[in-house]
Amino acid sequence: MFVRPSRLQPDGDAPGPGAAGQRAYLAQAPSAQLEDNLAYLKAELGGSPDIVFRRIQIGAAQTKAAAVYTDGITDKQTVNEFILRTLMLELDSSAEPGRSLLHDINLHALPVGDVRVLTDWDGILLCLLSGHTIIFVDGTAEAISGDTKGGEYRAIEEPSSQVVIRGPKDGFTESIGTNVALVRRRLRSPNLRLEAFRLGAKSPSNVAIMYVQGIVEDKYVLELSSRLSRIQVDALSGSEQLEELLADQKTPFPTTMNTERPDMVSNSLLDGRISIFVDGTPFVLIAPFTFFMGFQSAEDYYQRPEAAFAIMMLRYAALIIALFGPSIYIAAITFHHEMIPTPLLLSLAAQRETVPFPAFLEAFLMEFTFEVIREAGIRMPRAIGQAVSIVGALVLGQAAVEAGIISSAMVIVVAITGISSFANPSYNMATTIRIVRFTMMVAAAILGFYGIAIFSLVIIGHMCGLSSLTVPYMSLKFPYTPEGERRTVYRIPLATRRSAERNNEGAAVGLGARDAALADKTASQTEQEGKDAQ
Amino acid sequence: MRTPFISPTQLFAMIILFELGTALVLPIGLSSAQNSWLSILLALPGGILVYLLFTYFNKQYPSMILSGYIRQIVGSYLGWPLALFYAVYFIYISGRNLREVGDLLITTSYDQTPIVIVHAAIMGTSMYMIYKGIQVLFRLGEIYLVFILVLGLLSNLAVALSGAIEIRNLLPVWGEGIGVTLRSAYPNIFLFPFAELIAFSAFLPYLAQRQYARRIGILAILVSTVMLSITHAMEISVIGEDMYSRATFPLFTAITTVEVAEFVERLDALVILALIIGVFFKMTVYAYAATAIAADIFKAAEPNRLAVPIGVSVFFVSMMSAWSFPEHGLEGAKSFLTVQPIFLVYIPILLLLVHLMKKRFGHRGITSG
Repeated sequence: MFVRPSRLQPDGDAPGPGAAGQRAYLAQAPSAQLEDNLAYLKAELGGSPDIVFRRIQIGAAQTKAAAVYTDGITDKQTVNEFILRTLMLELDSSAEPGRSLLHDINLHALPVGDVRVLTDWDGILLCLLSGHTIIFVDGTAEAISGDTKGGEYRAIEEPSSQVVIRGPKDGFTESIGTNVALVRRRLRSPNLRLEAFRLGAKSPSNVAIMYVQGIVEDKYVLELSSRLSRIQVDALSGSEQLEELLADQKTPFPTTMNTERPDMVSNSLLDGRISIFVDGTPFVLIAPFTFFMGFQSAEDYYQRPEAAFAIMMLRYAALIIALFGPSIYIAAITFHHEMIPTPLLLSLAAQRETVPFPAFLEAFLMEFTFEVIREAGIRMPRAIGQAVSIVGALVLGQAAVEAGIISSAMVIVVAITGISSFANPSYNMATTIRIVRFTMMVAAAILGFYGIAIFSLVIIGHMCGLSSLTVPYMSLKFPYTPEGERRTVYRIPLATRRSAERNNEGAAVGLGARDAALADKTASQTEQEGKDAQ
Repeated sequence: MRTPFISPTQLFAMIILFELGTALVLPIGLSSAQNSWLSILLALPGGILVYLLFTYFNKQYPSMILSGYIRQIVGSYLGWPLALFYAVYFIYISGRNLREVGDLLITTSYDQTPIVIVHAAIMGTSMYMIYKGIQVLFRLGEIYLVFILVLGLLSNLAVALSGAIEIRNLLPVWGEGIGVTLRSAYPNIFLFPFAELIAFSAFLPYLAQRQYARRIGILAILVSTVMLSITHAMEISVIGEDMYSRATFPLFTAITTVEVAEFVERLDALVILALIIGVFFKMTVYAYAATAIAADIFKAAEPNRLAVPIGVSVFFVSMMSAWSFPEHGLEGAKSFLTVQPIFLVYIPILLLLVHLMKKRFGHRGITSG
């Protein structure tokens, strides 16, 4: 019978009988007896069938040994070729059994990259469950682990949530290694720094932060690392959770950016931001994040500056419509008839003649239905997608008007609002704006334009109080240079941008705030060239 | 808690918003109706002097707000009640500002909405901002300045395009002699809105780059004066002297006459918006000043916590100080020439004199408080 030990759950919910004694035993290192170790490991992992125990005999002395690995997250070929094969066939050890054999294996017989000698169960379990192969040798109270991570991953595909017309089409995957590599491939700078963290008490996941030394301000890196090391969670299901844990304040607004696009990450790194990779999610976080950054798309860098500027302005206009569209309609219909030009007012009044609801209810009904359709469109199986559009267009558009439930002007308002909210490049910002839109509608229904003005003050006031990694949320100036401001509000032509960046670099180094000033300066130029080459 | 700081740009924005506040919409300098735009310009030097006075105090007592150096200068026994009077006075003025926007809203679009709700909405927002603190308030001001400028540009453009401007209405310049214009500038326009800058004494200690305090402040006062003057000149030229001096809200009356391209007809919403924003910042600055003084004299550890009591007081003052808007106006006219000068001119000048004397005749007196 297996007593389910709770090594990975030190304060687990259901400690078995004799848990205390078990724990005391667990604190020990592996024993010198191979069979003891294997039995222990088996018990520890509950006899899971995907843990493979391969018993072998090594060398001329026929020392008993075993290789343990987790099926599915290891690369079979690596395990077979580089571990089992070399151990069984190629290792020609004349050494005595015992410690020196392990030493021999370490030095001569494991042609894989990351090899560690482990002396505690904690490390052994973590390595085993992250895809390493563990080798136990009889007579040695130590184990060797070799990195054999692998298995099936989604291939690099075009990102589904952030689409560009022109620009690179690769997107992040669920593998942190691949994701880091995708960015490294773009930023060939020796100053690109990667720091690893491990978060989660019950199920540790790998988290890495990446930044370009010399461009990023050190205080942000320090702040982020200290926040990451303070985080206490059981398990990290993805970057969304981390986003919440890293927030400066409680707020419905997103305070970190997430992206599926490596080019967005490398651009942000060059702007002096920090990116956070989490294993198991294709969404990489970028911080510090400011409100206006949410309206930049990767596309802006792949268009002519004039076009990019115009499109960015279009997005701001869409933001205003998405926020205020229905509320302005409600306010004008309910409180401020005089603002509508007379012919339009007459036609609106004629349309609304049959509508039994006040404007607010009418708008709320339509907006609500629209949101339901939208949600259904995302959640339901692709194959029946057509049905929703038919229901949406016919039933809610035409039929509802003909039945006299809503006015046709309302359909226009809702349609424009809905489309405008799709024009927002960041999905989580768009979601927040949807929430704010509904509250804005209530404000408009109670106090008309005055309500809208007051509620906007509250919302903008709230945003002014926010910060992301201590950078003010409404700031136009991140990084704190005039050039940064210009780039956030509108994309300036590259020629100007490059020279400005060089000047900034020079100025910043002159301040003495950066270490290794000279090296950084040359490095940043190399980066630029690397970027140009693409 | 980190100490908040205000950047020079934020101070610039807030002074402009504060100066424009109600002065943009209300008639100012009544006695020289036709030449009130000139009176505004004439009152400018006085405004700058007031501002310089408070930056001087700020330089002498860098970490103190008004209540702090009042007690330093005249001693605790005299200074404490005096500071309390200032807090009460700021609450009163904040309430008056609130009443003005409330009444404009009621007369224009919200005749069926209870005044309580109209006032509560803006007061709640104001309290929220005071609770959030100086830094957030000033960041908000920075954003809304852009908004106000765009609004002003749009409405002025519309007025100009509509052809409603009659330059003849502004003539003759100084028809009644320079005396009337000057009398309207001092004390009327000097007291409102220029001397009101006293409220900024609560913010000056938090300025990040003090060396710019004077330059930025004077620039802001200059810009806001020019904007005020242009706006009032526009009002007079559109509706004429007679209407201007009788209208409750001249800017509102002027804007309603505008019609461009048979489409842009009712721009009054823009005026109301401008007034809401302007008053919001003005009353919040006053209420904040009151909060800061109260926190200082009552030794409250967290000034933000006083947002609610001060805000509720402002709310009740705005509701109960007068039964009707005419009464409100009458009361204003009375207090304007009696109470206001005491707080805005006489006491600050006395403070300056005592301070200078103390400075001149050694340091014995300073520790007496």
